[in-house]
Amino acid sequence: MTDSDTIFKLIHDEVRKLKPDVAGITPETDLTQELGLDSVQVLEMCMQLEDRLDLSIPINRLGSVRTAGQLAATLATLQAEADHL
Amino acid sequence: MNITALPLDNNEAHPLFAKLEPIAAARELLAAAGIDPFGVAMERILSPTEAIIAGRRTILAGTNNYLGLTFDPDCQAAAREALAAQGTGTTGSRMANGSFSSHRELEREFAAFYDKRECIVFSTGYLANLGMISALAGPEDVIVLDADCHASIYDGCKLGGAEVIRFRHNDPNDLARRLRRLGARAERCLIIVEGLYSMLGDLAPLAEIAAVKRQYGGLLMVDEAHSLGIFGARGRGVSEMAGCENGIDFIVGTFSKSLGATGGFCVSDHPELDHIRYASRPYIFTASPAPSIIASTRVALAKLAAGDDLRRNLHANAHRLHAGLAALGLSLGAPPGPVVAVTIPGKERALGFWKQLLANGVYCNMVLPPATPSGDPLLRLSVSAAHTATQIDRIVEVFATLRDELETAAPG
Repeated sequence: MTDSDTIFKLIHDEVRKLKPDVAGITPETDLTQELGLDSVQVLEMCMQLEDRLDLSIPINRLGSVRTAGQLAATLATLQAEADHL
Repeated sequence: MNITALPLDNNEAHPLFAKLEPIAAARELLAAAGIDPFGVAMERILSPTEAIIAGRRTILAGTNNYLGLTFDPDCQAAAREALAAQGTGTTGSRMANGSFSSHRELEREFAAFYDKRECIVFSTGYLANLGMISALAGPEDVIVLDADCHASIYDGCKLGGAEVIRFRHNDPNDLARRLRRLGARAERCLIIVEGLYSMLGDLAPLAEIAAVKRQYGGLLMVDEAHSLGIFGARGRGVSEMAGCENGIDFIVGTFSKSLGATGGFCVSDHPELDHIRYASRPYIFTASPAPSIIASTRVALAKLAAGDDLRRNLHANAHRLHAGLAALGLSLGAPPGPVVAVTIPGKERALGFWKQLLANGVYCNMVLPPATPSGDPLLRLSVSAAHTATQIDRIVEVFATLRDELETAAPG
């Protein structure tokens, strides 16, 4: 299982691939409003994260995700659920 | 309640309208540039491939009228006859008072055409996806779908309340990874893909996808909206061409493209399909297709089934258009097929290109990000069996002229 800090670092890596000019993100960084990611970019980022963590993110779970921290928390929860399968 | 306290004279927009403000702003920008790609009105329809738009005779290359049957004399005669004999509408849903014998006959004809046991006719293609998906996959179930699936498929998922997982577009290996991660839940899974994806015109690797389903379990639904009548020896779609129809549990389609009307259907060998009628809200709670629509669709389906002359015309036209645009050095989304998508980098450039195409008598679809798979704007053309070689050549000629003008005008 990957810890939350490591998951957050993975998100940071993926954001830098899509937005090389972004200096850094915090858990409060809004993925679309602040970083300007569009829906296609968010999808691509999620797919990269899914590969790296070997899990699938149901889109129903992304509805309330706005910030990098919320995404990290969602991924951590999904990973915990997968470990209990 | 004191009604005089209500803000009757308040000019501020209601909070519910606030979400529309970005749309209004985008529309104003387009209007200021004299461009309205999403509000084109056809003033007079001259044929399946020509209309008067803004007072100008225009070639229609964006109407999905793939087989050109909208003006077919036999389809029109059947519609007129049904209109006179059965009236303008059914005034009821299939479940209540809106099932005429002709609806049942069309269902039998669709089932026979596909060599399937069951068929349900819906009021539109959109509702066929909504009705099937929402009835099949509920909150306890999982849907794994291609990321580029149509909005009607996503909406059907939402209506049913299933957990929804996307896999990478046209990537059977990614589908397999997702199903593996589901473990035993893969058995309760509905996999959804399309035969031909309508934006770029690319085809699904259906044989490989059906093989993945066989390995992991679940049921497979294929939307052949843009491929019915176009692919396969008998025109049944990409699944027939790929030789994997037996591995597909549900085929969904529409009357509104190759068949030239409005409506939707699903065929299957699963006898349970007939029970879906009693579980599908989009089947139960909307009016059934008008008798004239059913009548013209039955004739169109019979023509489609009778021979491949329309398909051959369509593919000849598709190859002619594709070759002509490729020779201009334009970036095309897929090999020759009924949809030819031209990538035009830069939103302003793409909008200008679309506007000039229309001004030169060519109508096609403008698709802007994020609705495009690649993130670049697309000029989407759909080819018809009814296009003449002269019309196809004229489309290419206009593209050539505009490409030269825009390249000359481009900075740097």
